[in-house]
Amino acid sequence: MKLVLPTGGTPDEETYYQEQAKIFNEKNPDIDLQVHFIASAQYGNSVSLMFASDDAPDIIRMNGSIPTKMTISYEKGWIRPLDEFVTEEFKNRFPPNFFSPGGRLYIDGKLYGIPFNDNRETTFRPLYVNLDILQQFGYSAPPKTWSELKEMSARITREGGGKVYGMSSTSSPYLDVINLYETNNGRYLDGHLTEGNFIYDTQTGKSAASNPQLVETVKFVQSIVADKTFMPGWESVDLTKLYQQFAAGQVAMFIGQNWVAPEINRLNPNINMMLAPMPVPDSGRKGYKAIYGVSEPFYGITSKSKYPEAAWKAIEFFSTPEFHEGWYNVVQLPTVFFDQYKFEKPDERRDQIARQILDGASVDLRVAPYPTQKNPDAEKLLSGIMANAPKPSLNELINMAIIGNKDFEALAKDYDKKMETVIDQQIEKLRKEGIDISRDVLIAPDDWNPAENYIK
Amino acid sequence: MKVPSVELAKQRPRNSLLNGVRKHAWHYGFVMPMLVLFALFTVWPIIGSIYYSFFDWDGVGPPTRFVGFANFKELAFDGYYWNAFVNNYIFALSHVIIQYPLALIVAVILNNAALKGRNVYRLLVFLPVITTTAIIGLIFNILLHPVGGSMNAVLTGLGFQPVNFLGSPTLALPTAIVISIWKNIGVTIVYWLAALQTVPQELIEAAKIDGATRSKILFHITVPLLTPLAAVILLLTFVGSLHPFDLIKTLTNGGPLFASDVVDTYVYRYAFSPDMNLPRYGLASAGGLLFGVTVMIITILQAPFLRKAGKNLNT
Repeated sequence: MKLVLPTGGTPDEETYYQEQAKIFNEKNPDIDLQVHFIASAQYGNSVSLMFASDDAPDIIRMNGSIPTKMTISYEKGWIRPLDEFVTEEFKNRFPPNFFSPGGRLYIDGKLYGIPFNDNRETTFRPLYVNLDILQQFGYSAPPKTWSELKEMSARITREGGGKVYGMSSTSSPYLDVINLYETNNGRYLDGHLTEGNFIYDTQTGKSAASNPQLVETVKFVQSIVADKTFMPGWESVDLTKLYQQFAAGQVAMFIGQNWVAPEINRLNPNINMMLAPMPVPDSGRKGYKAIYGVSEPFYGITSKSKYPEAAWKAIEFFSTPEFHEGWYNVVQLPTVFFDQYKFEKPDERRDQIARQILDGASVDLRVAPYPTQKNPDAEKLLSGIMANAPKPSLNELINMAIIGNKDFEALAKDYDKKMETVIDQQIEKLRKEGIDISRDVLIAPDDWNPAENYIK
Repeated sequence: MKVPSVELAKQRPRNSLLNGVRKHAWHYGFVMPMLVLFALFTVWPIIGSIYYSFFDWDGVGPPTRFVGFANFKELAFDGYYWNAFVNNYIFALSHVIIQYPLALIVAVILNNAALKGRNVYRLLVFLPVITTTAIIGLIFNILLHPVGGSMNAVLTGLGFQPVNFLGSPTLALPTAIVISIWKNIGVTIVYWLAALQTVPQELIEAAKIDGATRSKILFHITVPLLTPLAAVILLLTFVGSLHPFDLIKTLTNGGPLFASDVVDTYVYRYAFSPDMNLPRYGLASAGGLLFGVTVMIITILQAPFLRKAGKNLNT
């Protein structure tokens, strides 16, 4: 039986997967598991083409690429339910609540995805801090409040003499804004899990791009830009260049994805780096970065697979602490089984970064309600809204406000007006298709406390 | 049996065509591989793009959701598309306005037999042409950076403030144009050098004997004789600068704030960029097609001029 698993990642990850496939095949002589490695950025397109050319794989990865996202794969009929394979023993391998029926592994009450990471770890966005640079300027710890962030970074830039900059950003500064904003927000949720495309008011179900907390955050980042704190040329820099600048000791702090930490470590193994939680407003934390469910669908079995039982065997093999620990040794990012690792290949630095990610995630993130928990068809509404969202998008408006120093509130109010029309049109369209849906799906349940994890 | 004259008239062209094919069978044989490749990799994708532009299609499975002209309508009201469209023409026309005459001046200098080491200069001018554009984009990213970039080091050494070449929405596109001209001018210079070889040397010698100055020889003999080929070089320069995808992608990625976005990068975002929503091949095809049609119109408008130029060349 030949099984095909297309997967993406780093070259080290490819070697690891190939080695593990060999071990799996030796243990299961009747199965020939073939791992096809695809560059991460091309994963979605390549898998789509496999399905389009009637050469569908047996197992797919549903994280990290929009075309293979579980809800989209389900809509396309690419994946099959897994309930018949999953045993209680299998579920018990994972932390509590990972298989909550209201979580993101399920659609219409059926299980379609198997997790690999804890959603909190993958979604955590740290403030990267070079502690040596901070100490050089007399600071003993990372900034805890917005004022501290602004003052410390401005001073380092001012006194750095053009060699060191307190903070910097990329051509997409909306990521800084959104991550700072989450600490200032306890009411407005992001509908697309994509940081800032459709923000809605959980009390009214209305578009809330112009909500006061976001406006305040944009003004805060604008003030940092006005101070000329960022490294000159930041407007044309991408994330890779930014973390190279950080690794080279030119930038003391930046807000970035947690998966770049191992890359920085490789570029400069001597860097005294810390992945700190996001600084909060001076008046105190008002909210958390919202995530939907603790588990994120990772593996799925395709509906085209001729050997779903064999494919399940492979997924079971990938879902063990041993497999995860091997992956961790290569990729250096914690997975859901971090607490069960034996740490047979000790690496203090790697483990320190992993613990900072886990600690930061527990400080900055909370599980929030998701519209599909109220109505499974809410995903169709959200997809329709996203596909027809006004242009420029909310993220682009934030970029315009930060790079072009524009009045964000005026731009966002206009955006909200247009977005309201889009929401009404999409609800109307779904109703015409016979789907019973209303704006109520965007209103948070009464029992939601933004300071607590909302797990159903 | 007597064949009616009408039938004969019908058969004659067919026969002559067949005879022609038979007579030139070897020539057709040589041309055939190119025709097959042209059909496969040029004609077929164009037809495919036209077809897909009428569908809302994400590239998976056959396109089934026919949307008529909806993609074109969406483009018509999409400010980002027209921004990219205008930037693209600014980019191309800048090459015509700057690169085209500049290349002629350099070619005239390099064509001067009295110039020592002119072959070395020709090689140096042509060197950027054979360099990979993506590499040039990445290297200029480093050279032009306000902190530690060589260009800005020179500027600050001369007492100027560092310039944010690629991070400024007003400077990003002009900077990309200058780099592109530096990269591509060698090709236009080669065209001009080839054209200059067609100017009869005896005419120039005769003019010199008659006491004509260098500028008079240039403007009264060289330039008029170059006019027919100049039209062709103009078209080649313009068409050659319409697709700066590799340079823009690696230099600015269309930014900042879409200030250097061109149709190629716009189409790429919708068709292939993983950080957007699902791919929209239909919209991307419509975007490419609309731009292609305008280029075709411009080329057709140039056709009578080129024909006239061609006739002049022959006479």
